[in-house]
Amino acid sequence: MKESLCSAPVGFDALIEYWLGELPKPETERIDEHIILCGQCAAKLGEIVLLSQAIRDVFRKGNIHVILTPNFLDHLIKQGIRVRQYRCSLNGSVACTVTTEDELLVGRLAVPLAGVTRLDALSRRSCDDVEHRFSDIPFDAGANEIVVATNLTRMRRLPSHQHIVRLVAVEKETDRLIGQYTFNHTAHG
Amino acid sequence: MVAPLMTTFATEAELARCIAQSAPGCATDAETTLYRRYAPRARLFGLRHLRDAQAAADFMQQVMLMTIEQLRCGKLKDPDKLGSFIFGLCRMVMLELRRGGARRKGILERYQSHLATVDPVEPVALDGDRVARCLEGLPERERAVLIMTFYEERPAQDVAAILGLTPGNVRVIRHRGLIRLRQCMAGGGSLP
Repeated sequence: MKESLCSAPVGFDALIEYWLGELPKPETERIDEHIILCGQCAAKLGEIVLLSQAIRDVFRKGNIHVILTPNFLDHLIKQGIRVRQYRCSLNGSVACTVTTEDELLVGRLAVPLAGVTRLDALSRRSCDDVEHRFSDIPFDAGANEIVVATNLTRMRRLPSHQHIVRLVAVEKETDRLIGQYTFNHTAHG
Repeated sequence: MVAPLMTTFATEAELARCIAQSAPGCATDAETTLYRRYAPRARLFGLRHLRDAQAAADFMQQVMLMTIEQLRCGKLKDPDKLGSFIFGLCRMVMLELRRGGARRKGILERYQSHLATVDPVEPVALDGDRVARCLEGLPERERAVLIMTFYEERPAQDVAAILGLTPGNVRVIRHRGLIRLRQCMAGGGSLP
């Protein structure tokens, strides 16, 4: 018994919106039915479900570097995620480490963001001395804080070192330094 | 030892008739075909509305058991409409689950052992290392939006409120991020 070709395929974006509950009720019900009737569109939705699960797993394992926001981090803490966090004042420094029990490792950088339209981060670790640029990082201008979640797996492998992060506002292709942060990392165990 | 060939069915109507006309346990091939075709779809329906993998698996099992039960009872009047019939059952079971349905337990107890021989429908998880590599290769903004979206499967409106963006902007960033991520996954873990 062969699957007949779908005569009205649901687009990938519409399936994402369906999956995330963004569609109005009549459209949701139409896709509900279509998913049962059409193997091809069900397979596409299955791909979205797997991708969603995989992204969630990567983040839960702390296996990714990502910029978060203070309120998203607070939400994670309320959920019981074991977060090790280090606050670093503007142009300040902090001693830090990571342990096997930590589920998330974050640096909270205090920064004045009023008037900033694009923010980049320049990162350099003394253990490899290579500067990485993270362009156009997301931020909430009202928060005056940038929350950086570090890749835990990678951090656990690194020796003790100094990590310097510089935040720059990008204005007409020119960098304006607005804050420098030093993390003195001690390897655990 | 050579495995016995499974009976094939030319149409869904033929499949439905075979189950309807057979005594319990005598249409194994037809039931297996039905299960393999519709159980993953019922599971997706369940996941979408219940947001819980175990609850969705239970939902799927219940829908498939009821489908077979009702086919045998002659409840499907037009065998060409098997898919629509199953969709109707999905909606009904979901409604009952939301009401805390007592019927569910009875059906599962009656038929569970019968369907236990059919392969469970377990989707194969993606390669986590590859997903992590591909995510790390995305621009910061796209990565943040994808993680904040899919960590708890939040709509654009919620993510927009977290990031101080508009929902439309979040949809655009999410769209771009997903395209890049899928391309990277298809390309073996390296961004184009």
